[in-house]
Amino acid sequence: MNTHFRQSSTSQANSPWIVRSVPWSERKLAWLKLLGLSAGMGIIWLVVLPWLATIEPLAEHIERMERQDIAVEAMFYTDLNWQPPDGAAWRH
Amino acid sequence: MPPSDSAQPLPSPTLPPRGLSEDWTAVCLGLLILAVGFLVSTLSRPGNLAWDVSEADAKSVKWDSPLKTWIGKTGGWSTSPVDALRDKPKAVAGEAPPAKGKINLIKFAGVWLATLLIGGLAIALRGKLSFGFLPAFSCLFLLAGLSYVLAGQEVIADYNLEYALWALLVGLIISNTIGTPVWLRPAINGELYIKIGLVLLGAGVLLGRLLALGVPGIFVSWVVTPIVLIATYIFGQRVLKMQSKSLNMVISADMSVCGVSAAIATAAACRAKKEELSLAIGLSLSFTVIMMVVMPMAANFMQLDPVVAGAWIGGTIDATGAVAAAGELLGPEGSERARIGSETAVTIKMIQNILIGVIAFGVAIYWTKWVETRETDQPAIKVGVSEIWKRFPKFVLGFLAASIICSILFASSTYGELWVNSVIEGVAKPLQGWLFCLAFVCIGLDTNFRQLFPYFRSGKPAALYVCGQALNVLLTLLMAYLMFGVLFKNSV
Repeated sequence: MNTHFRQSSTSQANSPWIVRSVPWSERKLAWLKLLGLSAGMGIIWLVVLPWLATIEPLAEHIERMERQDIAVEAMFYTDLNWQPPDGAAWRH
Repeated sequence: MPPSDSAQPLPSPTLPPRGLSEDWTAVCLGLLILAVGFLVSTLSRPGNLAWDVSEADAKSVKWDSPLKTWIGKTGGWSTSPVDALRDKPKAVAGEAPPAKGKINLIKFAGVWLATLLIGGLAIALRGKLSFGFLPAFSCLFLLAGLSYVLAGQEVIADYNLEYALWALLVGLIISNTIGTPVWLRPAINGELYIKIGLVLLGAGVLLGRLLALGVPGIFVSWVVTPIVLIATYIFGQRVLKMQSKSLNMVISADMSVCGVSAAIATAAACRAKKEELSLAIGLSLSFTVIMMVVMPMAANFMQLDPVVAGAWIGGTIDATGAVAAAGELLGPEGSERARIGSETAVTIKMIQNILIGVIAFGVAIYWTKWVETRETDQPAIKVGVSEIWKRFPKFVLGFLAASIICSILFASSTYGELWVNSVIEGVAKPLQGWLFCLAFVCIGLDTNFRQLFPYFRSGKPAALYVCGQALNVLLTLLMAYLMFGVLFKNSV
């Protein structure tokens, strides 16, 4: 088989793909963990981060990047809203 | 331990070796998507656009692929995540643009359908398509959409904490609490999504852009980067004595080339473990946040010329968006120093981005010919061409083919430049982003936190990153100063 990501040596033992019978109490705990983590993320994204965005140095930085049309989150150069300068060599 | 429903061990999510191999499936589908993109763009060519259009005339022409309106991604938001689903506000003639655009679900339906077809076709080509794929993929797509929304929050976006991190987190939270549901299994195929995404990424690797800053730019990007990569890898093996060569290589590549995208390409080329890729991305994004704040301050403290400072920033900060932001901070807003610094930094980074294809190809060859043979305890055996071919990750060829075809078309004429841009913007870029996002959700769903602990305990990955980056910072500064501050000072 031609796969290019190796499986971890420990992945089999700990893998969520191994299905086991689990007592109801443990399952309930797992769901509570998920709900707790989701609620935590909700608070961070809906309350903490919007509040942080109003604090002055950060608010000014965000506004500046927006005004300059800079996509700070870009992963590759094609994600940038950027055109090469007119004098660039490849533009003949 | 994640709870589940029965006591049966399930097979690995990796598909059986029926039908086309995973690599060739990725190559075929990636090139097919690009071919469809070019066909649709050709059919929608603006009527007034001639084959021999001049560069001056081309500036007034807007050539967008019609697929662009159907294949979109979430936008940014500040306080309400619903804003991530809105279009950018458009001004009606004679009126000021509204504060917010309209909610547009069509582009998400379009991208869901497109990725569903790609994923379904990929699994069909591999010889296994089940009815469970539709609900499983739809759920996976929603999780990927959630990751994009998390990444779109303005503070998160402003620190370049890319969607890959949140996609991993979403998957990890599910797999490490309730466990990955069995019914999601038919859609979990992260490697395949990554490989198709990489072939599409190849379309944006336009070799002609190497000439952007001429000889000095190539020296800063293409001489320093391989030196740092190789030196960091050797340092990891000889000094830190890292157990995993693939982890060493992925960290060395993402630190010296261009962050997450380089990590993805290298990890696939050297058969890294999924958790090694996750770790490398986490390290890269964490240090990027620090460097995008510190580097402009350091450049200003040293009173570097904006071109030298921009080249230094472009050559060292991992993430492309962070490079643009840091370059802009070299001077007050609107100043010449900020403009020159930002332009130079982004151009250097762009040249470095293009290096990703050469690095992936080189790593694939090195791994196939030298590393894998030693891992199988056969150092004395001479590896023949057929064996290298057998082991070689073929998707790299699709990546290179997409890059070469698009580069030739792009360089052929102004018409070709507009044509390629319409395909990259309308098809390749958005689909590649969604495929990577889906892949990282899959990796998160297939990873146990406990697998990551040993890496954190040793501290070696972080030490490797810090030492490699320190060398990168020093060498790039030296080369940037030599090229842009001394040898080519008057020609840039």
